[in-house]
Amino acid sequence: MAIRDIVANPSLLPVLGLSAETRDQCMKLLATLDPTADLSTDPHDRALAASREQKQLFALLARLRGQNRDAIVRVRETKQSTAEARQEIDRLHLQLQNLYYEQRHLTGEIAACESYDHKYRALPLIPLEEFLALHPEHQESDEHELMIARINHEHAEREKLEQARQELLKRKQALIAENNKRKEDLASLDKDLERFIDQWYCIVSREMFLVVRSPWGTANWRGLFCSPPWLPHLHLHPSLLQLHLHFTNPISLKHALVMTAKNDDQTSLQTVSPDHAMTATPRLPPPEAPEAIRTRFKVIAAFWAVIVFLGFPIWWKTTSIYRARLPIPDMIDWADGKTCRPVFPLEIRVETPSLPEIEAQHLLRSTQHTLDDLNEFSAHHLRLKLSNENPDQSPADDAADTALTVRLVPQVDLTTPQAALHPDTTQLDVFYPPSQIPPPSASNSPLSTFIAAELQLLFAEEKAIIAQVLSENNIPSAPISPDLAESVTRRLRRSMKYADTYHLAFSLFTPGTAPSSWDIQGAVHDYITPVLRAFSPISNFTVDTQVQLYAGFSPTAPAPEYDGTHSAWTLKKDDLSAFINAAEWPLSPSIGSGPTINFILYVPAPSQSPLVVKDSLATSWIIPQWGGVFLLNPTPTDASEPLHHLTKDTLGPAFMTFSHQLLTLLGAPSTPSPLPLRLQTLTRIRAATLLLSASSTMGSLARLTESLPSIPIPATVATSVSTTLSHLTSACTHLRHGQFQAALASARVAEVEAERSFFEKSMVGQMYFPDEHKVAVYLPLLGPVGVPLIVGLVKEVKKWVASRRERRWK
Amino acid sequence: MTVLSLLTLLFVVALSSFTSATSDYRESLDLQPLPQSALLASFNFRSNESQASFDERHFRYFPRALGQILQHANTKELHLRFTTGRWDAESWGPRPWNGTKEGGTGVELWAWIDAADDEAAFAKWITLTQSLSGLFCASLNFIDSTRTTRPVASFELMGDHPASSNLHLLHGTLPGEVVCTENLTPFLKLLPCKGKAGVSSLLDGHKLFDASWQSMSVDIAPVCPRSGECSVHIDQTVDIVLDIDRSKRPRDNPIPRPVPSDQLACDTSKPYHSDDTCYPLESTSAKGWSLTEIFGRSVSGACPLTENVDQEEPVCLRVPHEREVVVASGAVETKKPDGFTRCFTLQPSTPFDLTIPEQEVTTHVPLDEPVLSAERTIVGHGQERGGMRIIFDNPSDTNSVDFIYFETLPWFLRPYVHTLQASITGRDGLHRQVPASQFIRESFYRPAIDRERGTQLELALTIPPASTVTLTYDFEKAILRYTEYPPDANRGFNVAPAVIKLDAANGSNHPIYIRTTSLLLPLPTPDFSMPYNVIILTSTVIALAFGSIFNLLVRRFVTVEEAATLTAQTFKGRLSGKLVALRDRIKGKRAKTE
Repeated sequence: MAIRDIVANPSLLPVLGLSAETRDQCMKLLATLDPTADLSTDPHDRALAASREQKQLFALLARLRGQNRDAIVRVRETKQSTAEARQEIDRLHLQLQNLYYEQRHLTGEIAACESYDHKYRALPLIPLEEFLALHPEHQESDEHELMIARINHEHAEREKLEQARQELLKRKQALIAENNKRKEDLASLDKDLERFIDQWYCIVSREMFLVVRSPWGTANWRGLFCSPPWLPHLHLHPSLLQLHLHFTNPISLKHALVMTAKNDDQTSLQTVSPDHAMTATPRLPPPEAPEAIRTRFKVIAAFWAVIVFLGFPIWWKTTSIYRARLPIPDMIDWADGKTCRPVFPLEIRVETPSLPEIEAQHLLRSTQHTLDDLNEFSAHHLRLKLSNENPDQSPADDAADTALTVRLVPQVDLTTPQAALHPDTTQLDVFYPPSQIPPPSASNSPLSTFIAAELQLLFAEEKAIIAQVLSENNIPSAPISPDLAESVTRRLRRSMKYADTYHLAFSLFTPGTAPSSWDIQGAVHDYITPVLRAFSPISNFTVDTQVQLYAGFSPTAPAPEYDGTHSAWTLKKDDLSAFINAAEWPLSPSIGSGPTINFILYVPAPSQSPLVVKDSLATSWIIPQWGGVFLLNPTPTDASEPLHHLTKDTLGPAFMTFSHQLLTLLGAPSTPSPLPLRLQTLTRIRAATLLLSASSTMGSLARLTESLPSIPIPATVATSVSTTLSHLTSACTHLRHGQFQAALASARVAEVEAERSFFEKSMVGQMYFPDEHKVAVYLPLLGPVGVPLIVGLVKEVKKWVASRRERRWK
Repeated sequence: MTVLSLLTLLFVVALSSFTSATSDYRESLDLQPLPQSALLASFNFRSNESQASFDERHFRYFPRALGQILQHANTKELHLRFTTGRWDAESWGPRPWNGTKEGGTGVELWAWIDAADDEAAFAKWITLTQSLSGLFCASLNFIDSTRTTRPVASFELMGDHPASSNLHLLHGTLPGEVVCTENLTPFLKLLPCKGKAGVSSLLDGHKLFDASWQSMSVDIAPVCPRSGECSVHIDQTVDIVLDIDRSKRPRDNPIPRPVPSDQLACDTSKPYHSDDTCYPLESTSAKGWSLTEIFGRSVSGACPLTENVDQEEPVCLRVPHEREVVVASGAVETKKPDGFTRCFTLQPSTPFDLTIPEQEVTTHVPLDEPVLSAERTIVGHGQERGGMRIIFDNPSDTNSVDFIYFETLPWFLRPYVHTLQASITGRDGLHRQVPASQFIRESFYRPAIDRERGTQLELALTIPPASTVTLTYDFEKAILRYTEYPPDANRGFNVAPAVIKLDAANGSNHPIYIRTTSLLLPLPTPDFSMPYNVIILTSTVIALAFGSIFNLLVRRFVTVEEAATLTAQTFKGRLSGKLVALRDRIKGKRAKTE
C-alpha cells in the first residue's frame, strides 16, 4: 500500500510531495557522488555539481522541516479539538445515563404504587350484590365511591355489634354476681347443715358413732367429748381407754388417734361393710385444736428465738472483723482540699539603718502596695516588715520565719538603685541614691518599684513550683506561663519523692581493672558533706561507696560510636537510658527505709576514651528519681599509663557535678543562687508536697475502707489517722503563720503516720479472703437445717395473716 | 608429706594472711586428682577492707552488698556454707581445709551478732537471714526460731573482737535447700574480678553443680594484728570434686557411650576370653585431662588486682613430679621440694590452660587416713516411733579421739535422752554394751518446745583407739497440724546433719570439722482433703437429725384419706378450679369470636 493511500489529509499532501522531491534530490546527490558512476568528468566539476546539488538538498530539507513543524502543530490542534469533542460526548453520555436511571427509578415507583396492598382490600366486607340490594342508591356510583360507602357501612354495622356485646357483658357480670351470692348462701347453709350434723352425732347412739367413724379411719373425737354417751363406749372398749390417758397432749392425741385408726382394723365391727365405706363421701380433717396451734407456734418461736438471740450473735461475734472508727468525712475533706488551703506568707525584713522611721514606714508601705499589685498568686505572697519595729519585744511563739532580709544602703554616686545577693546568707543589699527616697506625699517611687520588682524576680521560680504543685493536686492557683510550667514539671518529675532518710551510693565503675581505687573519703568530705549538712533539717542521709571493676555494658545496649570530628567516642542521647547495666552492676538499693540515690562515676576503657554524649558533648546526666552518671575521661597525659588511683583533684569535677545533681534530685529550685535561700524554698515546697501527699493518702485510705467492707481496721490505724490529721492541722496553721520549718516538721510526721496507716499489714492480708470458702463451709450445714426452719416460719406467718384477715372480716 | 599437712599448711597460710593485711586481694586454685577418677579443685578468694573505711561504708574490694547487710544486722563475724553431695572420706581421705570451709548438706549459717540481750540478737539474726536470703537467692529466710540454735562448744570465733562487745552466736541450717546456679551467680558477683579474670573465670554453674561434691563458703571476720590497723577480712572458697570422665563428656552430648570393642583392654588370660567375651582389665595409668576439658573453659588470665602479680602463684597442682604437665606459654612452673606439688604463675590477659596427658605412673600422691569417721542413720519402723544410731569409728591403733558432737533436731522429732545407749566393738569384732557415760565426758541438752525451737544436743565424747562406738537413742514422731505440712509432705522431713568438732591434732591450733549426711524423716501424713470431708459428713448427720426432730415437733398428723382431701381442698382443688375457669374463658372467647 502506497503512502498516498494512507495519508489522505489535504494539508499533508504538500509535505508528501516535498519529501518525495527531497528524496529525489538526495538520490541525485548520491548519484553525483557515486565514485563508480563517472570517472571521466573532472573531479572539480563533480565537486562543484555535488555542492550545488547539496545546496538544493539543504533548501529542500529546510522547507521539509518547516512543513513537518506545521504538520505537527496541526496534529496537536486536531488532538486538542478531538479531546474537547470527546469531553462533550462524555458529558452528554453521562446525562443520558442519569436520565435513564431516573426513568428506571420512576418506573419502579409507579409499579410499587400500583401494586400497593391497602388494608381496605383485606376487610371482610359483605358481598357487593348484598350491599347493592341493601343500598340501591349506590347503583350508579363509580367504584371508588362505592368502596367508600361499603366501608362506611361496615363500620356502622360493627359499632352496632360492639354495643350489643357490651350490653351482654354487663348482663353476664350481673348474673355472675348473683350466682356468687347464691353460692355463698349455699355455703352458709352447708355450714349450718354441718353443725347440725355434728350436733346430731353427739346424740346418736354408740353403734351409730362407730359406724360413722370406722370406715373413714379417723376418729371424730370432738363428738366423743361432747356426747354424753361416750362413757358407756369407754366401758365397752378397753382399747380406747388408752386415748383418754394421752388426751392432755394434743400431739400425742393425734398419734393416738392414728393408732386407733389402725387398731380399728382388728376391732372393727362386723356391721361395717366395705361397700359402705366406698360410698361414703371423703371428709376434711377437723380443724386443729387451738392448743395444738399454740404449741406449734411456740415450738417454732423457740427455735427461731435460739437462732436469733443466741446463734446469730455468736456467729456475728466470732466472724465479724474489727473495724475501728475512722473520721471518714474529715479525711475526705482533707483530700479534697476543703479543710486547708495552703498559703505561703513570706516575711521579709527590711533594714533601713540610714532612714528615719517615718520615711522607712512610708517606703515600706509603698513597696508593699507595688508588690501586692504585681502579685497575682494569692496563696504565695510577700509581707514586708521593718526590722527595727519593736526591737525590744522578744519574738513571739507564733512569729513567722524570716525568708529574706533586705538591707537598704544609700550610696551617693549611683543614679539608679542596684541590688546584690549575699552568696551565703539570706540577705539582699539594695544600694540606692539618697535622692530616690520617696517623699511622704508621693504614692509611688522608683525605689519602691525597683525593690518590688527585685523581690518578685527572686521568688518567681518558687512561686511557679508551688503553683504547679498545688494545681497538680487540683487546688486552684495562679496561672503560670507554659514555658515555666514545663520546666518546673520537668524538675519536679526528676526529683525524688520525699523521704525521711536518703541513702547515697557512690560507685566507681570501669570496664577494665583500672582505676581500682579512688580518694573517695576526701571527695565526699569536700563536696558532698557540706550539702548534706545544709539539708539536715529536711532529711537524713547515709553515704556508702564502692568500686566495681569489669563492669561492661549490657549486651543489648548499643555500643558507643567513634566520632572523628570531635575525636571522641560518643553515646547517643536516646541510648543513655540503657547505659546502666542493671542486670550485672551491683546497684542494689541500700538496706533500711528510704530510697537510694545512686551516683555513678564511669571511667571508660582506654580504648574507648574519651567517651561523651553525642552532639552535646556532655559527660554527665541525671536519671530521674534514680541518680546521676558522670563519665570521667582521664586526661591524655594519663592515657598512656592506665590510671590506678583517682586523686581528689581528678575527682573534683565529678563530685562537683554530683553535688549539683543531688540538689536537683532532692528537688531544690535552680534560682536564686545562694544555697540558704534555695534550702528555704525547698523547705516550703517540701512542706506543701508533704501536706498534700499526706492529705491525699488520707483520702485514699478513706475510700479504701469504704469500698472494701471486709477488711479489718485495727485500732493502730485509727490512732495513726488521728495523729496524721492533728499534724496536718498544725502544719496548715504553721504555714498560715509563715513558720515553714515547723510546718515541715509537722508535715513529716503526718506523712509518716499516713503511710503507716495506709500500709498497715493486717489490712492488706484479709483483703482476699474468698466468699466461696465461707459458702463451702456453711452451706452443707445451713442448707438442710435452714430449709425446714424457714418453711415452718413462712407457714406460721401465712396462717397468722389469714386469721387476722378473717377476724377483720367478721 | 601428706595431703592433710599440705592443706593444713594452706590453711595456716590463709590464716597468716589474715594477720598480715598487706594485700588487698588474693586468689588461688589448688587441683588434686583423687582416686577413682575424681579431681578436687579448691578455689580460694580473699580480700579485706580496713575497719575504719568499713565503718564509714567505703568499700573497695569488700562487697558493698554484704558489708551493708553486716552493718545493718550488727553482725561481727559471719560464716555461710552452701553444700551439696557427700564427701567420700573412705576413698578421698580427709576433707579439704580440714572441714572448716564446709557445711552440712544444704545451707548452713552461723554468725556472731553484737546485741544487748538474746531477744535483740535474735531480731538481728532474723534481719540477717532475710537480707542474705535476698542476696544469695536462697531460702535463708526460712531459718526461724525452730531452726536456730545457740551452740555452746562447737564453734569458735575466728577473728579478733574487742573485749567490750557482747557477742551472741547463732546457728541455723536448711538441710533441704538445693544449692544451684542461682546461688553461684551472686557468689561470683561478690568477687572483685567477678569471674571475668583470674581463677574465678573457671567457675561455671553447669560444671560446678554437676560435681560429686561441692561446697561454697563465705567467711567474714575482723582481724586485728598486734600492731597496726584492724581490718575486716572476707574469705570465699569453692571446693568441688569432679568426676573426670563425666566432666569430659561434651555438653551437647552428655550420654555415656560404651567403649568401642577394639579399644577395650581385655584380660586374655581368662579361659573364657574370646572375640565376643571380654574381662576388662583395670587401667593402671592415671587419667589424662585438661582444664578446658574439665571446666569447659580456660583461665582468662590473672586477676590484675592481686598485688605482686609476678611472685603470685595462684594455680597449684598436686601430682607426682614424674608426671608430664603441659601449660600454656607465658606461665612459669615452680616445683616444690615435697615431690608432689607444683605451682604456676599467670599472665594478665593471657589465657591459661593446663593439660596432663594419660601416663603410666608408679608413685601416687599419698592420702591421709581420716582421724575419725562418723555415720548417722534413722532406724526403726512404723509411723509413730523411731531411733537414731550414730556410729563413730576410730581407725587409729594408739590414740583415742576427743571431740564435740553437735546435733540439732527439729521439734517434731522428740528424742528420749534416757534411752541413750552405747556399745563398743573392738578390732576383735566383739560387741559389748557399755554405759554411755563411759564415752561422754560432758553433755549439753536443750529440749525442744513445740513450734518454737528444736532440740539441741552437744556431747563431748572420747572414743578409745581401734574401736567402733555406736550410740543409739529412741525418739517419737510428733503429728503436725494440718497447715504445717509442706506441699511435698510424703517426701519426708529433712533432719540437719550433725557437726563433729575434733580438737586440734598434730599440734596445730585449728580444729577439724566433720559433718554427717542429712537424714530424711518420714512423718505420719494425713489425707489433706480430710477437713472438708469432715465438715460435709458431720453437717449431713446434724442436718438429718435436726430435720426429723423438727418435723416431728411441728407437723400435724392426719390420715392418708384426710391428707388426700386436704390436698384436694387446698392445692389440687384450687388448681382444678383455675383450669375450669381457664377453659370457660377460652370457650367463651371462642363463642364470642364465632
